[in-house]
Amino acid sequence: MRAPRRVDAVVVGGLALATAGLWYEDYRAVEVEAVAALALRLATVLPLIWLRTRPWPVLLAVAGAQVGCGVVERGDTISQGPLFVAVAVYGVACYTSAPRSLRALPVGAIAVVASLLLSDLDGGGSGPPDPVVVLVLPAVVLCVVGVAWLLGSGRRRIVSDARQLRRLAAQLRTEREISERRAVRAERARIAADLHDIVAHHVSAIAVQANATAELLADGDESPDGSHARVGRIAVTADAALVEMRRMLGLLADPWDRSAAPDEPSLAHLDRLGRVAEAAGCQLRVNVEPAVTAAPGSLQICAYRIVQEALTNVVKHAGGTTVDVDLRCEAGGLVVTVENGPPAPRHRLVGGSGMGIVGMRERVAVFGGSLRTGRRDDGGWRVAATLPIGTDNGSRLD
Amino acid sequence: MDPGSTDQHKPRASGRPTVRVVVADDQEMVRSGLRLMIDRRPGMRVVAEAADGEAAVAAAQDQHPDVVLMDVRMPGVDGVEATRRILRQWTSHLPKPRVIILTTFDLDEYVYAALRAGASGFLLKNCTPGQLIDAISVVAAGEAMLAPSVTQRLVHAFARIAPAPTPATAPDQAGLDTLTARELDVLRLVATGLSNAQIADRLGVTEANVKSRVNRILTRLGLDNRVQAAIVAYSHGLLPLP
Repeated sequence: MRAPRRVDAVVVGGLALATAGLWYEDYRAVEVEAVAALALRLATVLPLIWLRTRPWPVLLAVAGAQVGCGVVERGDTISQGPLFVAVAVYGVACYTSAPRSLRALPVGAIAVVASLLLSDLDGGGSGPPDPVVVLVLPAVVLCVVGVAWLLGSGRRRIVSDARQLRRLAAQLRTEREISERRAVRAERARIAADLHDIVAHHVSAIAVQANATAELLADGDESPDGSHARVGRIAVTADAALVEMRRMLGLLADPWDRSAAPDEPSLAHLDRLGRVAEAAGCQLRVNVEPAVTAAPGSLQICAYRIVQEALTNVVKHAGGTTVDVDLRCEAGGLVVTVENGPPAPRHRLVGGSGMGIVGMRERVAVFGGSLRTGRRDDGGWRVAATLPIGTDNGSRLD
Repeated sequence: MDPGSTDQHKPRASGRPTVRVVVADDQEMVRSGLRLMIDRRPGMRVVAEAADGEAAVAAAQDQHPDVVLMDVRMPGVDGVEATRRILRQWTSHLPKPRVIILTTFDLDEYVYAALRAGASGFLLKNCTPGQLIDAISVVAAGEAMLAPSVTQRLVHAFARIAPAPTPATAPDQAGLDTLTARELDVLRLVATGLSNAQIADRLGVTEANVKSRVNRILTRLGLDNRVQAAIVAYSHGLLPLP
């Protein structure tokens, strides 16, 4: 159970002093009756220190003390008890759960009405109490106590909702992290699959050449240095490599996962991507510098995938707008730029997961490149990736 | 090797004309290697090379080869499309060339698509020279592509999946319905990779009988070769998939 806070004690302490002060105003004497009145008045306020932690006992204590006040006090003095009872009802509504907290209403109302009636009967007034007072008084008290309950209950709901929202936000953050990690893993698998294809192609070519050369050498005399056998071994090794690569294929991106039309990620097929974007209403401009086709195959595939993802995002987020695709070679790097204008006027935004960008970053990072994305001044969007050309042994293939 | 000779039909020792081959592959190393192996054989010659699908189609229409070795994945017009164009848009009176697909991977949906488009079979690029030459000879002579078990693996793998949309080349159920029960039996046996001689044994008829039945079936279903027959049989459930 939570301990009462210091601030509660201070506030209640202040109220107690005020109560004592007002008591003195009323009584101005120290008699048995007055002391009893003081004690009971204090008994209506002091329990509030524990309101946060034990609301029900506090309500009962305050209500009981209030009835006691009614018994002891004269009718012409007004104590602050009813107020404190209302505060206690507020406390019960705020710190305990709803349907049961409603029971505080009758408890509080009856206590206050009883105390007021008792003090009235006891002291001053001669004759039967005013019938109007008897009818109106409970109604008024019930309203006041009812308001206190509503305030308490409302606050309880607000606090609970806020807590719920905080919990959900934290959950969302965690799930987003998991999603990102999953997207990264998926993209890496896709990159691996693309690279695997390229490697396998090269190894196939090695195998063909080795087979052909071995045959040619076999025509001539058996060479003393065994070069024929050596070339033969190249072919055998290439064979073995391909067997393993075919095995690897099953482990990489699930081939059955692709849509009905498998896409060959070659820059020669950029027009297919363009057609999809144009079908969605985009006005497309594509510029591919001739030098780009001489870049290493894996970089070209990376560029293709970047354009593919960027165009998908354009169609999703901006609809049919102007799109500029540009591929060029600059200062030892292949630069891919996809820019689009502001979203089409009646385009309804399809919510994106943001995982596409995560994938793009991962792919670019694998090649040691850099990716910049950002908003344009005219409200459009710009994606620019730079992929450095230049392998460790400084050579370029085919 | 004959440098730039114009004699297109150099007779072999056995008297049969030379098998003329077009090689299509985007990698120069592959083209030169294949040319080396083919030109070494008397009775075979590479008459043209192509680096992409469009050049392959042009070379086929120019040279009227007997066999086209087609790399399945090429930039621009790929091997599948080129195969389709050569076989479906053949305008000359000379017989259509047979297309053998070259591929790095056997379980490749592109290869399957090429077979559905009418290719006579496929070869892995790292096959031995012997296998390469055998395949070319067999296919040029009009016989079924060798290694049906390898082809079957491919068909098994892809007949499970919804076929690529090529309505022009896919015979529908109605076509199958026009076959007699006997013909369906023959189709099933063809699909399991048996040769005509073996089917004749199984059914107790002559080989010539089987050959004509098979041709009738192929014609009626609009198919080019036995490989396509196997694909049809599996994808229409005539044979259970393993």
